[in-house]
Amino acid sequence: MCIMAENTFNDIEDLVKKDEKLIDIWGRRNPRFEKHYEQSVLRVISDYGVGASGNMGAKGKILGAGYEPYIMAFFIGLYSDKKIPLSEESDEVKGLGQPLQYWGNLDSKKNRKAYPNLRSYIFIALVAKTEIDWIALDKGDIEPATVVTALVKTMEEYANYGFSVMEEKLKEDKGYFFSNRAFLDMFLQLTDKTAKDIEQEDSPESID
Amino acid sequence: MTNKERMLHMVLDDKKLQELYDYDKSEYEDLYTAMNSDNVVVAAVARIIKYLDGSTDVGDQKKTYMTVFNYINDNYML
Amino acid sequence: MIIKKIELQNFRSYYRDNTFDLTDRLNLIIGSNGDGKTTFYEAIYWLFRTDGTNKMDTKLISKKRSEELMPSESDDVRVAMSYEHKGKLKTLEKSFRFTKSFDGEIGTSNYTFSLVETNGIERIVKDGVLFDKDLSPEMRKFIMFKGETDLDVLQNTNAMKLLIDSFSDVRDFDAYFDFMQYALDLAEKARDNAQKLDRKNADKIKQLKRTIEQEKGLLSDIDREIKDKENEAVNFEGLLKNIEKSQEASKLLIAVNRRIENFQNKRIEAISRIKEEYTKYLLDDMWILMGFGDVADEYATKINFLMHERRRQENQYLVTAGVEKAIKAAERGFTSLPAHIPGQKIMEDMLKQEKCFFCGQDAKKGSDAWSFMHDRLEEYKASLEGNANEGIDPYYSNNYIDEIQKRDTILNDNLADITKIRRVIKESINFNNRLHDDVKKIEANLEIEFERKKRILAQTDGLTEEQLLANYENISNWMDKKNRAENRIDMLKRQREQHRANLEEAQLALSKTSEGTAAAMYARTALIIQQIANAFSNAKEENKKRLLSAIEDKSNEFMEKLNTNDFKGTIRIIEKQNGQGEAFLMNNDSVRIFNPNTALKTTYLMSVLFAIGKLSSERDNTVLPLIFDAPTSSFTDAKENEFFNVISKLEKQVIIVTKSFLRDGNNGEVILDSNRVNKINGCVYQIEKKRPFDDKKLGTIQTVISRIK
Repeated sequence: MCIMAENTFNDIEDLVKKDEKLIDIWGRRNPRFEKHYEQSVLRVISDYGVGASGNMGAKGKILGAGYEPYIMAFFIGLYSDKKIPLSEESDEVKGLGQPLQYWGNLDSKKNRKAYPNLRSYIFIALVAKTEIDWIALDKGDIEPATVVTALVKTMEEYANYGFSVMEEKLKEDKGYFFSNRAFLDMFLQLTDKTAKDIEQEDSPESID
Repeated sequence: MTNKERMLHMVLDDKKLQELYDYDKSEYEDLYTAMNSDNVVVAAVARIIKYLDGSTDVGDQKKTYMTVFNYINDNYML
Repeated sequence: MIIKKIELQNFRSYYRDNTFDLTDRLNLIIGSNGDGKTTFYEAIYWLFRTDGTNKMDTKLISKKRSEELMPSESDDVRVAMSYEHKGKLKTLEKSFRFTKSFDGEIGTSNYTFSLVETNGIERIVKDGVLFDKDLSPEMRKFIMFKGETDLDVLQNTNAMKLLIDSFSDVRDFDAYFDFMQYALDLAEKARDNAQKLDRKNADKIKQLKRTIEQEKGLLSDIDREIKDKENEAVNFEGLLKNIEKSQEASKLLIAVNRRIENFQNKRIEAISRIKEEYTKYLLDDMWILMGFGDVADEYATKINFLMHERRRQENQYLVTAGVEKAIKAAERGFTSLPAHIPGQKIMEDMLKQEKCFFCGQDAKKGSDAWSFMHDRLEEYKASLEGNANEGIDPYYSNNYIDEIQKRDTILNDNLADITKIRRVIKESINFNNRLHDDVKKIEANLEIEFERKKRILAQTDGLTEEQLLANYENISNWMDKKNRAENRIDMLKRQREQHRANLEEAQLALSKTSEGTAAAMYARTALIIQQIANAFSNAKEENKKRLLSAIEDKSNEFMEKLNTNDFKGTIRIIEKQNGQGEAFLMNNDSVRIFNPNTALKTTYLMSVLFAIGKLSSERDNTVLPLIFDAPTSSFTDAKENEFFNVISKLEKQVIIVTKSFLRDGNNGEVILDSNRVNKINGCVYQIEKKRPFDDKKLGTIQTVISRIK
């Protein structure tokens, strides 16, 4: 029986017309993060800075491209519903380095699959969570660019919280995210509406 | 049985020799009988054993040889 | 020869006079290391030396005695052995004098070596070298043995020759063998010379001679190859017999290995089915959306609101704009929609919905009311066309809301899948857990098989796994090789017969050539001599075989007695290529035992020695003693007792110097185990260093002997 969910979701962009969409404007943006997370988180768990290889784990890292930890951080913030504004010092932040439109466009190698659709969901979440005067936008009273900036800010702030959580975990345990259950359990816990404790009997003993 | 007699028996017991020269055990019961046997080969073997007497001296060898050689030449009838 | 008495005087640690009175059966001399056991041996060796060497070595002098001497005082170093041989009582004695000079130096003199025969009152003194006649130097190798390694006498190159010469039925075969070669040589020369004079048959003779040479050469080659192949066949036979023993184990091993391989494959397969890269699935399979339900709800709510709000505002605008437009149109005389009728869109909506929003009444398509609205709208639209530039400006310039609304539609469709994600994750984890359990079960089975394997290997007599498996594969190889060797031997034997026949024929023909001439006679004689030589050669072999067989049989008789219950099997003795002999054990299945334990080895080697001793007494009418140094150090106490008891009943004089029967006492010194000693049937001496002594000061060392039994 095939338990692994194939990407069965319908493509959200199918219905949207082919004009310059808001999501395309958003796609050209390069979200920022606080620089200190580069050493403490990004380089630890991904190939960020080494040149993204679609081959996750080639250098022993859990994740491949640098945006992958970013996505994790974002969802941590989103599900925790906590944001931390970015530092205002411009030399403390930097852009990730890859525009959003490329996020999830992995070469489908043996090991990985591309997940471009995830971008749409991120976008949806940003729309849901950002205060925007959409009517004014449609009327032309405010620029799409402005709206997009606000959406990206939401994203950056969720991610900023997420990075802080990840950094904390890594401080306690350098190898925290190297277990194949670390992220999964974290998300299961964040999104568990019933019990607050993770069901420990689920975890199998290690086979090495 | 003396050592010489044991040797006599061992050599003359040889099946091939018996076949070739047609003699039997009775001819060489002891050294004396063998020496006087009508069978040239039996008698020759007896002589070899008696005259050499276990010696490795060349002189003894030569003497024994001459005796035995002549004996065979003189007595062997085709 | 029976040794009655051994005397040591001032010989190394044996200070002054020491006498060992011996019985004609078992004699034990018990001592610890350093007490004088080795010295006892050396004394006897020194005594037996008949080659004139090592006469007066000052190292042999008892240090204690020499230190005691006053200047110009002397004493003797003396070793003597009294024995009975062939009815005579003799004493072999070797001695020399040592004198302390005025300046403390020790000098030696007066070396004597004599063999004294006591004949009642008469005393006949002869040179000691005559001892060789009673016990030749070669024979001495068969009676004195140091330690367990010396016991394998047959390994000595000359041992076999000596045995054959000493004990076979017939001695002096070599002399006759040599003679026959000599005689044959001469006879052939005589024949050749005579034949040379026979011109007539010269060619034929030459040809026959050539044939004879050839055949002789071939025969010698064939004999060599047969010997080689026979060795090969025997080797393979031995290997195969060994394999048969371990065949059962090999089969089991192969089965176990197969099961292990199966389990390992299953394990690998099971592990490969486990897909636990959960971090990857969060992204690639978008499991990260597991909590997206709430977000989707928020999104839907927002969209709904926006859609409504957007339309509401637009409608509001249109109403306002519509009213303004109607007024303007009225001023210009345009046909306008009835004043109370709002904008075009509303009209279109009303038509579409077949209802009047304002009075609330239905206006079904085709009814008067509907037609009225329709006509007015068409008129209005037509009149608008004429005044495009007075059209109402659109309220919205963008429709981004439409973009985000469209996403909502599909999001909605996907919602079911999103809520399923958690369940999918749980199922995946459970599935993997079951696979982990499967793997564990397989691993447990693997453990069991590995244990089995260990047990099999533990019981296979030191064969390694490779050997066991190789053995199994080798069986067909070796069977092949053995068969081929045997076939070759058969073929060679047939060839040999053929060549022998050829040779005989040629020899016969040669002898018949020159018939009637002196040459013929000489040829005949040469042939007879050749045939007699062959008979001697065969007899020599036969002689040797009988001896080995006799030794074998006797050895097995002794083995029965010495070994009691431990081992069931036989001793075999063979002659090897290089003239060495070999004694080994075969168990009841005629399988050679390659590595018997030390105690077993000692037992069977000693059986061989006893056998040789018995043979010598039968052939020669003389007995010989056996002198051993610590042969039973690898035996258990119980086995040793048994062993000694059997020996004591063997009617053979045996002198054993040993460390046995000593145990550690309470104060760290070594004491005699009287209980065990009492059970011994024979004469027992104990030797030990006199206390106090200082190992560094040779002058304090003195061996003291005491007769225990």
